[in-house]
Amino acid sequence: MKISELLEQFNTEKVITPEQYSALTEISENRRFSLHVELQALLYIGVLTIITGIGLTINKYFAQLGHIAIIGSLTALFAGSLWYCFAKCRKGLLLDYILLFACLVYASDIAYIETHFKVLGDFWKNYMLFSSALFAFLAYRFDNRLILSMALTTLAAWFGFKFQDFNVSFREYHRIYAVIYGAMVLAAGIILNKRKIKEHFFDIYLNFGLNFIFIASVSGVFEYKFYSLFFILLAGMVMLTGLYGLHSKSFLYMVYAVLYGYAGISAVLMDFLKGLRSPGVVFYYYIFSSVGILAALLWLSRRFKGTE
Amino acid sequence: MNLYKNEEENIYLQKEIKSWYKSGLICEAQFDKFVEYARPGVKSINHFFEGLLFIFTIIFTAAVVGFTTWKLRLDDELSIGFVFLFFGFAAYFAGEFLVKKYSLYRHGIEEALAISGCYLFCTGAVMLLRKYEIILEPRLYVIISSALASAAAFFLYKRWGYLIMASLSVFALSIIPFQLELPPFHERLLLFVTYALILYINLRAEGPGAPGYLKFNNSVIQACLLFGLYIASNVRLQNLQMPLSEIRNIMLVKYAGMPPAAYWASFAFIFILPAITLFFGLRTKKRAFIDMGAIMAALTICTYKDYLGWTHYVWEPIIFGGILVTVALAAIKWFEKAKDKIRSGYTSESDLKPENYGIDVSVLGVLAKMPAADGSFEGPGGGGGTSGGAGVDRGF
Repeated sequence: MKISELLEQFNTEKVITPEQYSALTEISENRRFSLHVELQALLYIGVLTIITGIGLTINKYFAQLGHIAIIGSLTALFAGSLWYCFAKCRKGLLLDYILLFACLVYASDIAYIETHFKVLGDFWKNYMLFSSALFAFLAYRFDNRLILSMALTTLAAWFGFKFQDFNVSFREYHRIYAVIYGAMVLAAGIILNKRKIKEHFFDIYLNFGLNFIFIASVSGVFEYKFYSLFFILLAGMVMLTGLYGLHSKSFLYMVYAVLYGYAGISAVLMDFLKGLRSPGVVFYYYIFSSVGILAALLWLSRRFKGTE
Repeated sequence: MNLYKNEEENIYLQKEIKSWYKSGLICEAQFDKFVEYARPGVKSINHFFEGLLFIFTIIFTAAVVGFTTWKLRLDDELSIGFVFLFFGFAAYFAGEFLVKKYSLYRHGIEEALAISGCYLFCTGAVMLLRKYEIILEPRLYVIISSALASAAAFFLYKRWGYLIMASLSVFALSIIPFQLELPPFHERLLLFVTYALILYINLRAEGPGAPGYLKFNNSVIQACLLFGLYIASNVRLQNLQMPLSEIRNIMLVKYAGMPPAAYWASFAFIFILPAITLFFGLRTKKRAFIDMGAIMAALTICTYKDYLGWTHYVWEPIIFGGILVTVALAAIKWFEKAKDKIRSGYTSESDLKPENYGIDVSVLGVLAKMPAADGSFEGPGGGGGTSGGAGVDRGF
């Protein structure tokens, strides 16, 4: 049956109202075509391109432009954007992107000042702590998930992380700091969620916190295998995350639990099986473990059928 | 040929209905009523479960093939090739069996079996050809591998309806012209002709009464092919990685190694193709064409100066970004002023909400733009360390 016929039939049977019929027909027949995503993408790419251009221009022409001109214009841009956000605090598409622009300009401004004047000297990293707090405030003030992600990333940078650091060979102190960071972020998310403050931000806290803890604990398990606190931590987190995922029907967390858990357990078992010096056992492990997980997942999927 | 021939339209319909429900256009009772009429005769599953089932089926298949090879103590290419062929067939038909017996649709297991089956079959076939010295030259090896991969991917698209496999098939095919040891211009020309031919066949194959899902699939494939035509014709795309400075012009090869007439024809084409794609997309309201046209237009803006040998300036991204923001804002305002915020059937309002899976891809773009530098890790607080986030940075 075609969608237009179905809508016609439901309109006649009064399953849908005439207003719904008209709106749904317009959408299904493309008489009302939304360019929302495309326009949002233009704004988003536009802001990122402007920031890239500002960075490149400052880098190339800072000798000719002079410090005052650069810092003055960046500060003016930041202040102007922020003023707009506070003055026209009506939630909207434009506000989100001006806020994003303000935060990125602020980051460039602070980076320039510290690079050239070394105000905080060896303690320059503390700017990141302040930046993180500022971004978090702005994220809550203007209800912006993107800025909250920036705040949490900046906090991770203060802890000493950057994207390249995320590999399984990172050193002991990376792991410990990753666990501390993850625990802090999770705790903040849980407390704010319990107090019903911006509950829709909870997913962001969970994603940041869980991934940091999981990566740290899996890398710990890869190095120390069974005899380490990382294995206990991983086992505990896998259980909690899996249960939370199933309980809240947020299956993304179940994916984290299964994948990180399987990686950790496989590392431990491979270490045990290595002593047997038989590749056959390794193949048996992967065959039976994958069949076991497939069976468990199929059972779970049947249990949660219709909850998508 | 399609395994889900009688169900694809209902599956497509159900997706539409689900997006209406998630966007609040219909209530739960209405949703149930709609689904009753458009219920496909196949069983689908949550995307997260699908992904996990896919991964673990791949692990299972790889382990079974590895175990067999080890158990039979095979170490020559001929025997391993036969094992791959055998398991290729076995995995593929196991996938088909699951679909026919249990009516699975995007369940992960049958997808992994079909894809790994085709992969094993192609690898096994190439191993056998190499063993029997049918392939003597290394480039012939690449050509046959690409042709096999392209055929397998196309088969998967037609039989299983995986849209990504159609693109993969075209991509694998496009490797072939570069293996024929032709001059650069002929390579591009052959690639262009290949894409144009596939586009023509695709356009001819789509009848006027094609169902909705097929129209959608074809629009995506056609838009990708147009993008392929653009890549084949824009001879300055590889210059995008060069720095934005005066030395860029010195680094540019004159006419990019092409005959001058072809070079200027290509210059005209990189303006015409995005314009036609955008115009057609807006006229027919096909999103794939609109998006692809916009991407092509952006690439043309980034490369036209290299064609003319003009200097690029580092402040150009500011102007370009400013234009993008201005255009977007002007369009939003223009739509908002219209009655019901609609102009010629277009609106800037979000009618259908995408599904929220708890992760935001746009975050990655912002994080990549934040000032960053290399350095050693010093722990929190002081030290000369690393940065990855907003704030200060030694190497600004």
